[in-house]
Amino acid sequence: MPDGPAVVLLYDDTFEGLLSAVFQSYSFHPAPETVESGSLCQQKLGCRYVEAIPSEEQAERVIAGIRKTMGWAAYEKVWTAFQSAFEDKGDAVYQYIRIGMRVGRGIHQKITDPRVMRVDKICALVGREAGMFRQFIRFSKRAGGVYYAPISPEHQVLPMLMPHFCSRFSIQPFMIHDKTHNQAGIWDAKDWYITSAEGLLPPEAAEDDRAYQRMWKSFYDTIAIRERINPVCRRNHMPKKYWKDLTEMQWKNEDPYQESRIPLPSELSAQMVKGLSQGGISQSPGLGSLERMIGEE
Amino acid sequence: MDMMDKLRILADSAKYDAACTSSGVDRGGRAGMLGSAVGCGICHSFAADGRCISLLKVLMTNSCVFDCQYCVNRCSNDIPRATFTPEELACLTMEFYRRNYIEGLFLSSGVLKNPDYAMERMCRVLELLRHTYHFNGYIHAKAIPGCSPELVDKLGLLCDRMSVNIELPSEKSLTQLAPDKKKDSILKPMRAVRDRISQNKQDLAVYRHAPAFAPGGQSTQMIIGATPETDYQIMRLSAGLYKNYGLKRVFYSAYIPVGTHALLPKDQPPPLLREHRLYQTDWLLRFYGFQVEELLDEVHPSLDPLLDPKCNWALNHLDQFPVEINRADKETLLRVPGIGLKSAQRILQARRAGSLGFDDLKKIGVVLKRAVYFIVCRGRMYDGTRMTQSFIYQNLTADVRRHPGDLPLFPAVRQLSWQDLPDLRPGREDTIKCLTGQL
Repeated sequence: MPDGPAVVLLYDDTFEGLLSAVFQSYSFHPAPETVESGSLCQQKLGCRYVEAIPSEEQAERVIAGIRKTMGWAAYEKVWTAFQSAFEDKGDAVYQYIRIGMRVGRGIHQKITDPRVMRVDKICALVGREAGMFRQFIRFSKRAGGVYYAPISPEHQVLPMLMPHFCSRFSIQPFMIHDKTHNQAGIWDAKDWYITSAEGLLPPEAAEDDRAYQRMWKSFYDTIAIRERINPVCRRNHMPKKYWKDLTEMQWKNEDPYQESRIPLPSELSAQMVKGLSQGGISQSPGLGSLERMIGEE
Repeated sequence: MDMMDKLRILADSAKYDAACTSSGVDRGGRAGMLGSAVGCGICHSFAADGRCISLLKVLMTNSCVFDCQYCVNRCSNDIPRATFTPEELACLTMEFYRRNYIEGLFLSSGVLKNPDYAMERMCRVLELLRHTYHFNGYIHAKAIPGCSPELVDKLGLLCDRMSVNIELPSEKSLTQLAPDKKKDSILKPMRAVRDRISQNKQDLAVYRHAPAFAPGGQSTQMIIGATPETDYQIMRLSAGLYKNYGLKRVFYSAYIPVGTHALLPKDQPPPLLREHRLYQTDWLLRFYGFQVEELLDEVHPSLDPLLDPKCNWALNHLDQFPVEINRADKETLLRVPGIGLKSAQRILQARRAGSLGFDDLKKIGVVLKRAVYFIVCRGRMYDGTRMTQSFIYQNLTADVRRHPGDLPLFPAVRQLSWQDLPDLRPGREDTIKCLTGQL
């Protein structure tokens, strides 16, 4: 067989399109070098670029094939990897399916194979981010009794979050607004769906909402034990990129409950001992000073 | 007094409780109810001290008739007191839950009037949550020592996890510092909960819809560093609790000087590193198949601050190493430092597809920094390692000795002075000499 230029398949940024591209890759000999996103790909010399034709039927056949040969878990990985924001996810999925269709269920044992590791790593990152948002989403109550939460995830985690929150808040309508991808996940206490958030204006805040936000912030500041302050540990568990939508990390420099001036860090330890031995709430440093004590975060 | 002040006072009084976990119960949402529980628990925030905030941890009241010297809420302490009404607390929990601030409620209480009265008020909150607000989320309730068994029973049917704090690791310390609590008044409710849980398991097997009693199991907590018990005594107590009382967790809480009693330590930072080492040992007991006697004994009753307990054990049992990664069974793999539950599982999985080398182990997630001294891959040791105690000890502790600030939980390092390094084992004398020579 003559050695022609390497073939690169282009897909149309949909999951269906990617799977169709994988399907069509089997009609090339030798197999295409890679599968890339049609909109992001920068064409290079010496490669032949072929646009894959999206086809629902072909995608379904690939899904059925993955489930049958590689197992359900593998299909879940393929789907999760596609939700990621990595530009080369098409290639990762393509390589993974190619090797998986050859080795079958043994793919789950080949965890040191670079092609499998790549998909595993992407899935872990996406899953980790979804897990983070399960922890750190903060709803606020809006007029009309709808709860609204803005998030800015890197990957498309909305489809992974909705089932969790719908099961949890089954009698409470809510909306999760993904600002990065401009999408909104909506639960109307019956069904959930994801729609475009173009021009979405969340309703006004409910009257009592601010009071509960304040109370939560105050609880958060009180619960920390001053003798154990450990900013590194907190950042490890709760990276700073999630802080901007966290209720308890707002209003850093205003503290309506603080009665006296903010003590300097050098005064803190003496005051702490005094405050603890006398147990005076008003003498313990307020939240502003706590933030200061933590210092350069 | 408004809600905000109450919340501040009662959270402040509850913060010294270590447990804030929401694990042990997997329960999906139910029609018409609000809430669910996830088996592994969810932490919703992390406080400035790095501890997880999973549950709304408050006291029902911090007025207390007891005078336990280690406790900030003792009746002889002059602090502001507050009391939630059951309605207030139930409503606050629901509002926080709806905003995804919390996973549920951790309810504990000072002893208002007498133990039974305080317990009844706690039951009232839980009843309101479960029956009036249809709350299906996680609830951890703390039984009060000395309460009547009927109330333990009632509370257990309403909550997911129950705990009775054992407070101090020995009876002697308890009598000295907590005159109102007797060993028996603590162990009696613990036994009651244990028996009720095992009975409930049988009931559930017979009637699928029998009401669940504390499905998340029972836990307890003890204060570390307030009294002179050794690590060995503490861990033996924990092992006994796990074995005889079927506990899910034992929590260790480094003592923070809040008392003025002559027997209590003063002006001393909390022993965080010691607490960390105790938790590591606790994990070894629960998940890694270790026995307390293997890790500590009468002659060596303290854990090494420089080395984690597993490394320490391996170093003293070099005759059981090296381990061949491609052949060893799971129990043996779990005893290798640097291999945890997950990597052991992954090694078993991966070696079915082909034999593993050192770079494969790295990809799997084994901490080679610790593991290399104890393993062989395809019959070969890692280049440049020697199987001698002093070599391994020096290498494992090199980082810590060079940068003491990197010890886990750095505030404790200041407390760890070189004079009170624990007794060092005879086989390491040479290393110790060079260690002290450096200082």
